[in-house]
Amino acid sequence: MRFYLYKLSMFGLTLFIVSLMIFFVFQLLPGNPAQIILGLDADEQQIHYLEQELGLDKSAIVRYIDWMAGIFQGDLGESLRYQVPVSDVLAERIPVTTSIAIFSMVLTVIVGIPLGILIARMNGKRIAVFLSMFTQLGISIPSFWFGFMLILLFSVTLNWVTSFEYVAWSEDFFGALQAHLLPSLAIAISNIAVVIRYLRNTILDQNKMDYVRTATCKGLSERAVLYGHVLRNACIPIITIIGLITADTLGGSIIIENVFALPGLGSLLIQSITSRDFPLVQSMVLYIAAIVLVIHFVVDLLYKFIDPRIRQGR
Amino acid sequence: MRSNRLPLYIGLTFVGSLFVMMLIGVFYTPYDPNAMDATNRLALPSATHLFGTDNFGRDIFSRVMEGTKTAFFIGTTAVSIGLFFGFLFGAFAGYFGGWIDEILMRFIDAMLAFPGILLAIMLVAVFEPGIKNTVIALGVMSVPAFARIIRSTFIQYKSYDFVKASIAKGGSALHIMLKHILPNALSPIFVAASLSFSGSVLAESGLSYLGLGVQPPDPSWGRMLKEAQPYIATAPWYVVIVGVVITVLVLGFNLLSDGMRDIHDKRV
Amino acid sequence: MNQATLAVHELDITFHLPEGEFYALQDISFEINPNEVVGIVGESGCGKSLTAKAIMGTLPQNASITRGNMIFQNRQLHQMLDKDWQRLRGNELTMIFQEPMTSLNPVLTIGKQVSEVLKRHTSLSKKERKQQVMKTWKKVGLPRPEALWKAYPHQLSGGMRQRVVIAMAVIGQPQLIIADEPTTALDVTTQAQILSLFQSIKQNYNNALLFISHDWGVIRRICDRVMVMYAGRIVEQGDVDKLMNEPKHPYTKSLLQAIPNASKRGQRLYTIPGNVPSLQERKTGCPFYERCPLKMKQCEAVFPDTYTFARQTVACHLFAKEGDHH
Repeated sequence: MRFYLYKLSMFGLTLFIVSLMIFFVFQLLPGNPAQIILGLDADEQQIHYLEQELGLDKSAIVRYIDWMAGIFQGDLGESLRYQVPVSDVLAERIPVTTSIAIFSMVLTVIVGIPLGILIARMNGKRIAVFLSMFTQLGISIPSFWFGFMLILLFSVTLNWVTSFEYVAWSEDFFGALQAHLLPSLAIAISNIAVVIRYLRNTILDQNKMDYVRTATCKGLSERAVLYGHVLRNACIPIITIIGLITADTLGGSIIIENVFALPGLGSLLIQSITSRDFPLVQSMVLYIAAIVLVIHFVVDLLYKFIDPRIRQGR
Repeated sequence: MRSNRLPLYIGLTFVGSLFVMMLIGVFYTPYDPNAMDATNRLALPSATHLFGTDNFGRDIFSRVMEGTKTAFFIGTTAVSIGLFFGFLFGAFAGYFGGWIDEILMRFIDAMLAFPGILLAIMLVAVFEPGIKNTVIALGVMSVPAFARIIRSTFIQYKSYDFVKASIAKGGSALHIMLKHILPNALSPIFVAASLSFSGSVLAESGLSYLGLGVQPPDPSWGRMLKEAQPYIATAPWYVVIVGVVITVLVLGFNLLSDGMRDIHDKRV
Repeated sequence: MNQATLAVHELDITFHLPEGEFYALQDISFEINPNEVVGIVGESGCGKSLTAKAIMGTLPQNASITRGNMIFQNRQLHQMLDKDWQRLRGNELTMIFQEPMTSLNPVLTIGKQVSEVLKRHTSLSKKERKQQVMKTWKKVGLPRPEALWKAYPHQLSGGMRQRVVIAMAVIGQPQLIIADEPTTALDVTTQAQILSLFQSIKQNYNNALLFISHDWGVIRRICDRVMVMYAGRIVEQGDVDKLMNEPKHPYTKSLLQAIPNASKRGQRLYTIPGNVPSLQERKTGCPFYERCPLKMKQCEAVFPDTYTFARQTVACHLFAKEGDHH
């Protein structure tokens, strides 16, 4: 119990530091935000009025508290560009990003884990070195460029994909599948490579353990040892890496949504930066960071729960 | 079993050839990278234009050569910034431990809450895009990786007898850190630096593709990809070539780091 | 005469390293009969564990049998396929390891790990397996079987874990159990308890036991016969009491001299000077040459033949005239 309280307080502290960092960085914005919004030819009166509306006349501490209080009440402020509450804008975009991210995670897991196991079983053979370099390639390719290559292959050359318009799963299943596949694959490619490498290393490390020798001496086949014993132990580190990858998937979607012009958080973020809609940007960055922290927190608890040594130890 | 050196050699070859390309590019490029030629737009690769020409008729090969300068500059500077602050954070946290460690590591955790290039995007967005701010943002982004590695090395070596002896003799913290612990941390630092270099090059191309990184007239591979995207159907080689060059440099550094780690692990 | 459970004949095992080929075991020959307990002693690095691995068919990837054969229950072990090995291991041929702390899988329950042996080798139902497991636990002195069934390894003491491992090894009623330093990692009290357990196993089960140890006290208590290994060779073997009372090989003598006991109180403890030569350092002559107090000229170049004295054999040039040439 004390352990969970400690973890929870650390999570709270980190979230607090993150919010402070974001707030601080946006305080460093050069120039007067009201001036920037209204343009150079705005008169004093207008600027003064907007400053008041934005709370710019208050001190930084008061503004931080206002921002935080608003967030806890579900009020993320008002978008300068859309002139509507930030929460309304986000509510439209979040399902798109979530859907793409989840699909990409599913791809990562169903491709990465079997390949990781396969490559671990090939260890010692000459081909393993080449496969390892091949996974390095997956990590090294810029994801957005890989997106271009997917477009070039499936759209330009093969003409299989004709439209990149976003389709939700509820509208049309196959249309949605088509809309999700290429962007999700582009995000997943480096994560797949990471999962393969990590799983392979974990399996090879576990294979050196004494309990594997015991299992072999029971008369179990190599397969039975791998699936019945080794992978059970590999679960714990795999959960950790899946947590990290979920965060990377969110990061990857920021760029990829721009490549495929998807109406998600990533494209909104870049548009808002370009149109200097900073209240929106500030809240979005906090929102994304908070999701990542929640994922880290859950993973922390999850693998403590899976490992019986820790589950019953404390 | 003997360690396989193949990844290391391939990594060295990739990084080395692009480095040579950059050196040559300082003195000579086949064409002026910014010279436009309206009559020769989006030309196929040929003997006169090795990589073809772009939408303004500029020689892609010369522009790729120009881009190597930016890539190496950004990689080197970002790694230096990341290493410097990462060392400060990691060394103090690892050496002193206790509440100093707690607080510093919470900051590192906070930075790791920004997935992918989000931290760099935020910094560049606030401080205006451009090569200088890109470098700073990417440097800040690579601080956590260095801090973590240096912290764990310091914690590990702090418990070794030769370090304890030096502390007992009354050596100053700075002296012990630099003379006794740092030399032992060098090899994991090299591995991390190589990895961080490739990460910075990758992140720069992403930022510049989004229009938030390097701005014209500064040359950048990511920027070139942004310009090439509309011509993906009409001039696919433009997109393909620039992407391959980025991949070669990033892969080179990743293989290099892999190879160095392999040698280090075998030696320990 | 009845058939030996295991007969090892002129076995050589070679390591294939980047620097070349190195003998790890050379000319190993011995037999273990039903109901017999045979010990192997020697310093670490002498090939004791490797011998066990060869018999279990779990040699490391870069090692292989380059000469000789092993016959277990009328089967040529080195000619068997993976499938045959899997049928043998855990069923007719089992092993107990040194490290009880790590030799159990940390994330599986004890019940599952022990009953897995029966699941693999018998057609018993789930319920029958559980009954069988609990019966075995009782025999090896494990209390509270219901709680143990659901427990994880980290909840047990080292001694209990070793009993679990022993239960796994005896549950299939094997013909041969190999125990590789099963008491070394335990504290003295637990060690004594586990040794008593081995003695009761010897009485209750009709199997042969190969017991590896570097502790002469343990060997004397458990074993009928003992083999002394040095640098990949068997240098002396014979009945335990005879061999310990009248050791012939200078290495055996040194090992026995190095045992601390009450009668030597106050004296400086004897230690054998030098180290066991590594694989790469071994030459054609007697490997003990460098450390031998009685070395002769011929020892450096030629490995001695084996000489037999009644039921004791020794490989040393000192006995060239006395013994029967083998």
